[in-house]
Amino acid sequence: MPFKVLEGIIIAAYAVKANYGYIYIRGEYSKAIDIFEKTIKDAYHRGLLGKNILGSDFSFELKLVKGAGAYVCGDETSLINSIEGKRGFSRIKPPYPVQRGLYDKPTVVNNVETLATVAEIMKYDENIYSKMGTEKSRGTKLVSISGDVKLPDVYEIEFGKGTLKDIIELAGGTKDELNFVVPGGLATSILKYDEIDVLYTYEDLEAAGSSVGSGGMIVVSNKHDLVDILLNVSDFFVKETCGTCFPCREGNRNIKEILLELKKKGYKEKYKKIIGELREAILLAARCGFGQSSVNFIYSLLDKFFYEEVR
Amino acid sequence: MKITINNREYDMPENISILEAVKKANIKIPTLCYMEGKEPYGGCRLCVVEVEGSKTLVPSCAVKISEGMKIKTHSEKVRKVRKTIMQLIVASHGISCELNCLTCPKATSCELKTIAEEIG
Ligand code: SF4
Ligand code: SF4
Repeated sequence: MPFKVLEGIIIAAYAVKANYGYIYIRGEYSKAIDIFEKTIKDAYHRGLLGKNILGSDFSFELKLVKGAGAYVCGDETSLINSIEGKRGFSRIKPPYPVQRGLYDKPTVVNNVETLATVAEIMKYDENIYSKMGTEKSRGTKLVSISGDVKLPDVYEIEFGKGTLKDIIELAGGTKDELNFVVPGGLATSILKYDEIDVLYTYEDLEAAGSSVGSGGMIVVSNKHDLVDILLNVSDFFVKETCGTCFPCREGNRNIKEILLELKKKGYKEKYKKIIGELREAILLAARCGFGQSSVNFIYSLLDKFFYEEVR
Repeated sequence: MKITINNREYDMPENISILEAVKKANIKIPTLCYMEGKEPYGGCRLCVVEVEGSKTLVPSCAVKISEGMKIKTHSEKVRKVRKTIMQLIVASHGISCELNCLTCPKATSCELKTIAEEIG
């Protein structure tokens, strides 16, 4: 796997004629860091990186950067700031990184899964990758399933070949009774136990009101208290917001206040309106993707489990 | 460069921000973190406007105008979001019995208070 990523990076660099690249790994992921440090060293040793790669006139230097562990650094502009040694918070767009990115130079930012896929696509003369999946969702996706399943792991799933339900079954099925699924990580909307007959593709999940997101699927059984889950997620966003813009910073803080009240005093009709307004402001006016996606989970869970009861 | 603001066409110079264009058209948008001559920061989000074709609202201080752009500065959506954001800003400002606009020595020159009154 590290070689596939490395290959993808080199191909991408060659394609855009970049001579300097960085691989940014979150500091906590020490195992990934160890592996990739060795990969880079070996690659230099064999002339796959550095000056005049394999005797060609293409030179490319690759450096590994350890992040200090902030969720928002998954946002490309925050990541760039972090590499420059600045505080990990987003930059205002435009200019987009491809116009003015790292050290104010045009920069391409891709995640490792994309890069690994690039290597895979380039491997075959006839493009077998694009023949997999559906018209709008080509190829495969690495889905990391966690939560209340019997075999949590990373699975490579071909788009359009199975439903969410099939994927859960692939992961050994749910422990206890299924309550809901988060298809693509905490930034995506949940789907209830009776909504999982949806095909795993970008278009089908979007039509169902959620998204493929990061591929970090979380399966939740009915053994957990919903309000505790809400508070846990809300707490995460309050802690991880970079705090630059008001809708995201204050909006998420206020949502947490409301949830705390909900926990103490039970659900009240008025929460729906307040959270709805906050959601709209955050969704439409937050400064980066972190904020814009920060309310999906909480709103959808409230919408599907709390609002319905009072409807 | 031709752009449309609130259903009226304007001819604007190139390479200016939406906010600058809107100012030239004598329309007022509230701003707090914007300062002329400084790089836009995009923190307060009060200057957001609706631009045709964009899913989210756009910070007018940071985005340059482009040919044929259709901008709405005070649509219902914009006003609603702006109001929520203003509420969040005021709520985080710690106004209480000890600190409030009636007793505050800054009341006559306070941007926050003026904008709060404008947005209502
Ligand atoms: S949306 Fe949140 S994370 Fe993004 S710039 Fe605003 S405060 Fe920071
Ligand atoms: S006048 Fe301005 S600074 Fe003073 S309390 Fe009111 S909003 Fe705050």
